Amino acid sequence: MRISERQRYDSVSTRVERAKGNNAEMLQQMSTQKSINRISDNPIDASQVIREKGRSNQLEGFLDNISYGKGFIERTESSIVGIHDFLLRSKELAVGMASDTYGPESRQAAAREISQIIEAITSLGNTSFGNRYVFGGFRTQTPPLSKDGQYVGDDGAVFIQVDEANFKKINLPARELFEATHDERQKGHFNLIHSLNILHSGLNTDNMHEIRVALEELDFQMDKVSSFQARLGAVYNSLEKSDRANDLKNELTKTSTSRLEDADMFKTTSDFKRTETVLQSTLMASNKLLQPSLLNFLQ
Amino acid sequence: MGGLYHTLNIGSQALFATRQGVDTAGHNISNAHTEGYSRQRVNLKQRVPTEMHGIVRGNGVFVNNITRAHDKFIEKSLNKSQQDFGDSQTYHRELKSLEDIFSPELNTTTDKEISLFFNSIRDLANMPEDLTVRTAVKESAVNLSDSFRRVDRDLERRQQDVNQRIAGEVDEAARLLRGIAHLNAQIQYTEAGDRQEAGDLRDQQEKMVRDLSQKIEVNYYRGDMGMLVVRGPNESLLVDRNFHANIAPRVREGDNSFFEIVVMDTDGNRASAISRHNSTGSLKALFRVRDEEIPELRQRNNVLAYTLGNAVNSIHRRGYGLNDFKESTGRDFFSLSEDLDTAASSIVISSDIWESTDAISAAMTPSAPGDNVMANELLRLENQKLLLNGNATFNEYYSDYVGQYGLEVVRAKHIQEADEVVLNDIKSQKESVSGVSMDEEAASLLKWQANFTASSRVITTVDEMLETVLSLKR
Repeated sequence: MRISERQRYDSVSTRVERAKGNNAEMLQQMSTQKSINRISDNPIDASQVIREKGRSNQLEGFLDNISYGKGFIERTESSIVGIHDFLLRSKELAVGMASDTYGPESRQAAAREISQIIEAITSLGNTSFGNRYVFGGFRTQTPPLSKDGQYVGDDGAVFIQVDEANFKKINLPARELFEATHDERQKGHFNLIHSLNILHSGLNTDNMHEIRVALEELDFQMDKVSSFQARLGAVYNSLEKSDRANDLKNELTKTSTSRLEDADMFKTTSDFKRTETVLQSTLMASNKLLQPSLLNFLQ
Repeated sequence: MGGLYHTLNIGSQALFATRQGVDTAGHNISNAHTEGYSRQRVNLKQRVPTEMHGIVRGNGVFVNNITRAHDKFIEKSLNKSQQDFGDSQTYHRELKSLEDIFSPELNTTTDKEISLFFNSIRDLANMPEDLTVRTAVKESAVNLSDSFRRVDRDLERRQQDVNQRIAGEVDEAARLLRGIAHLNAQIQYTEAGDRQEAGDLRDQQEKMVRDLSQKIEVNYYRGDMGMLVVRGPNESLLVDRNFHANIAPRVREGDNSFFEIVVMDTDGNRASAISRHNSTGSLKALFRVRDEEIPELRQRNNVLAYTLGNAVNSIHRRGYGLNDFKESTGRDFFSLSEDLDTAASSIVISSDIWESTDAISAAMTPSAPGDNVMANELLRLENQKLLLNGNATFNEYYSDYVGQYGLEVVRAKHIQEADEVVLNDIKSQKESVSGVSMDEEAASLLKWQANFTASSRVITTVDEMLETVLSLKR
């Protein structure tokens, strides 16, 4: 075959170009540490990466939600525990004062303690997390317990998203806690604060009947508070479970994203070395190829 | 027998012929790297012999003509693959240039903005009464709508760029047509009535045809007196003798400044549009990108904006806001055109939300600042399969259409590479026939030089003989 000058130069430039192109591509992979730098590098993987990243982003959102929910529940629980402790103390006082051992002065002193307990429980009922009252339902901006112990929140249930399909309720139906339901009223029960008020007035006026009524009522209220605490525990556990599940999913998603788009360092480095060698030898060979011509040997 | 002068004549003719040989070798060497040049060859021929006294004698040599090494079949297939390559190369280049709009390296891609938007809604669901959170929701919604508009605007700009490129390519083609017709006249003049071939002119003309066929579909043949006849798409006559048709970009009727190609006769009359008929070359690729690929991508972006905007709105309208908005519903979150085709270019956040973040409605009940029911409803959208007939979420739809686009780029790249291999192969065939080889020329220089020396020797010999003859008489 005849080989013309242009053929030689063209083939040299094509080869050098190709070697340089491969080398530049590997260099980019080396410097970005990613094997997918543009969509067309690998469209299938690239679109998979977009999905996985969106998913991972979402999972991180769920994790944030859950940690917020856990904080909310922890705050709620500490208030509930506080309320329970105060009720217990009230009951101790009531049991003691119900006997004839103490005189009216002692009972009045106990009444003063009870009125402090009422204040403390009211303040616990108005606990807030961040800038929202945890017992207020949807009325998170106004204290849910009024000074006289009336519940002024609403029945709003606050849900948070814990995974793609599930929302978990993180607040308690506080009205049930602080207010006696219709049925309970029928059975002769009172609102939480009101039962303490009865005790207070019984102690103050030395009315043994009222103290006994309050004593029974306090048992009922403490049972109720305990059952709420148990409910919170159940929600908290299920949040923990979702937390772990999401964490695991997120890790798996991230691993698979990384497998898709991150360059294998060892492979990239050796590939880079290889393309560099190819480029150098191409340049050297080209230099040799372009040199000789009969003209160089003519005198 | 002829006299000594006859011999002298033979020598001088040989000198002329060999000098022409050196000339042509020099011409070849100097054009070794000229694009489209075909090496030339001196064809010598012995003169017609004469018969005298029963002896037929040779009369020396003369330069019959100078021809170029050329294979018109290779030339044809070169043109054909040049057209294919023009098409696939332009298609790949133009399509790839759209890549940075969707590149994952860019941290403001639409899919990311959608994720961020839903993340901010998630925060809103946690703290619906918090002003900072609401401001963050507003900001992320502004970014999201900006992202839709940016993609649409960028694509439209590229569409306009391609349109301008079409005009440029057509103007360039028109210039080439003028050149081809002009060279037709020169070739006719130079080759007139003789067995001569105007090799350099033909080379130039064929290079023009190759450049032209890279742009648009053309067929050609050499007709009368070596003049090219060129036909374009739809059998339109582009060049005949020294006449050429005018082709020009013209704004398409009832269209927003998009060009089509029209062919007119030399005087600019009888215009007919040929864009539709053009089946190859870079112009075909440009039309395809402008009229099919970019509109398709814009449409996908529109569908995403339209679906997301309306889905968010229809939920948001049922919700209550804060403060001034705590008792009222029916507010849109996004404001966008009802027309699907302009959804992405028109989407912005609604003026209510723009003026006050209290208008963001997370609540299902009035006057309930902690109510996050509607925010949770909005969150459900993220995983709902609202697109592709209920088969894809927003994120999946985005990754689907970007993935398809990426595959198209890869496909275009493969076709371009295949076409390039074919083209290079044929180019190398052509070079093998027509290209200049220095070694060959060096050998041929040696040949002619030796021949020249020998021919001079003939002349000096005749000179000496003449001297001898003249010295006969003392």
